[in-house]
Amino acid sequence: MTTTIQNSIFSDYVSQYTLNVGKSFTLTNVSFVNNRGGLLANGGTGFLDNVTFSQTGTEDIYAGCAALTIANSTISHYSTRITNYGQAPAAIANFTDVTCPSPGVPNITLKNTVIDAPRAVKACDRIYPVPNDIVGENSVVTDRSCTIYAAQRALIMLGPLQDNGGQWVGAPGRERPLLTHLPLPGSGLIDSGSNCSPFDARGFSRPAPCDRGAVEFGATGP
Amino acid sequence: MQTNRMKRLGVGLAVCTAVAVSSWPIKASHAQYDFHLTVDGTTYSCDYAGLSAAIDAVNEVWNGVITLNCPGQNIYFPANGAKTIRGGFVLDGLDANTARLDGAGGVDTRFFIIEPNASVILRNITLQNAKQTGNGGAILIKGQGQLGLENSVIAYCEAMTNGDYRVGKGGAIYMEGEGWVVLRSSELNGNFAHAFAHDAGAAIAAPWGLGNVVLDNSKLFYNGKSGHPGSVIVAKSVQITSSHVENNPGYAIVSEADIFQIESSLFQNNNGVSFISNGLIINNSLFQGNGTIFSRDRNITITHSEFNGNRRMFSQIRPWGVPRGNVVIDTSVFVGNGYDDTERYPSLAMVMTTPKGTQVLIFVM
Repeated sequence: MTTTIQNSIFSDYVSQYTLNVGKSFTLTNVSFVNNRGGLLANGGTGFLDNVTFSQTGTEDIYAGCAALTIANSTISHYSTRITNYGQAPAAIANFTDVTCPSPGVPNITLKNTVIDAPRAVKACDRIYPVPNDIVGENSVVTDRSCTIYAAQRALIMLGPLQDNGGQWVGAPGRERPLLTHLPLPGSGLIDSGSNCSPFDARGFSRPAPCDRGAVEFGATGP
Repeated sequence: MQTNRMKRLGVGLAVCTAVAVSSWPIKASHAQYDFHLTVDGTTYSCDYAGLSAAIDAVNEVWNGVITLNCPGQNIYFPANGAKTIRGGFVLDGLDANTARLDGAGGVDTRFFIIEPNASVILRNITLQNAKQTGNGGAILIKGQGQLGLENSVIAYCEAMTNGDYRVGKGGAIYMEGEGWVVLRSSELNGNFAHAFAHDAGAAIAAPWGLGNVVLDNSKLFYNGKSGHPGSVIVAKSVQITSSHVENNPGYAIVSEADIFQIESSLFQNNNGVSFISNGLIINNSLFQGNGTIFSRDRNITITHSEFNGNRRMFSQIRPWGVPRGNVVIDTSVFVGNGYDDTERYPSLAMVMTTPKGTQVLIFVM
């Protein structure tokens, strides 16, 4: 059994989490916008590709013993609200301990992904962490809480959440754009990725070298 | 004679169109009768006795069209006066606003019993205020019987319980077997099933999972009662196109359907749970302000749809065992669904393929 979601928007949820996925899921070209909480993944395996999280009130992702690959994604987290389990504000809340199926094995991998958060917010809140529970490949975050490379926010330079082109989604007559954060000119995200998905969240081609994050600066539509 | 031939052609064309669009195998009609008070030269009165005699005449020859030309004159059905359809015919009231079969709220005033393999099309007519102890407030369909509603209304009919909470299903229509109900440009409004069960079917019930329902350019509204567990539709297959399902106090849809297909339709402000099994929800559907949309064990595919303000979204929860079924969502929008902070299990806003109880574990930390 799997959950597959692509080219879709989740917005304005007031529940603790917006999407509680199952044991095997894939999210591709999905934007989570202005929700109280984001994705809840308990166990199982998930793959996120070209996913944008923005304006989330609590954690964007809660991973409980879940094996997640977060690729080519953008997490813009400005809320200083505590997480749903009462801890300090964070973009990713990762629960791992010896009771998980594979303790000691990294359960979250960030690839070509950016987490942009102010100083008061942790990129990763690692609950009962085991060593090396989060690993990064060509990813950039704004502090060392994920135990991967941390960059200055000034180098990230994400543009505002807006319609940056691409397919509109929804019921005919009520379609809306897939909102994304495009890197601003001069952003350190530009051309700093490697082995990205061939297309970004908008369906635009990613020329090599590709950008980190969900959308490619300077790309044009198909 | 020429007029009758033209009418026959018209009927034939209409039937052929229905088959082409929906694959609904309703049988063609060949003979023409004018209920208005004549059938083959015989004049019938605009009352129950006249209608009863006309139907008996049509039943004898199996096919036909009865034209009910009694504008503004309700045909009141007495207790236990349900007409049994053994053949197939069209009952055309010419205008649903003025042609009415009326149970007047009396007990056991069901209108029709459609026998296995019989078929009837009700056209341009309103059926209202029937109450029946048992299943099928207005119409009971047996076996593979077929019912078509065209530009017609069934309103304020009730299936009454006999003291057994399992009885009293199908406020408007009840299918005992593998029958068909096809609504085209028709309405089911304010019907209620008294059976205290989630599969009661305030509008249409086929609770043994055998019947088929097609809604085309039709409306279901105000069926069920607030707080009552009865659903609006229960059937094996449910196909809804260009229709509105709105403001039903009962659950919007309950279906154990092998086929659940919705296109270009609006679901709005319904309450309660919707069971969607093996559901295919495609193209242009808007779900707004409903209660839970709830799936058990089966597959769901959604494309080009919007789900907005629904109280709770999909679920693949199986209380005892491993959940099954896949969920595919493409090119869709989900806005503000789910519980708010005041609810006990707020994380249930949108649950997919998750065993019951998993989410609770998170909050005991």
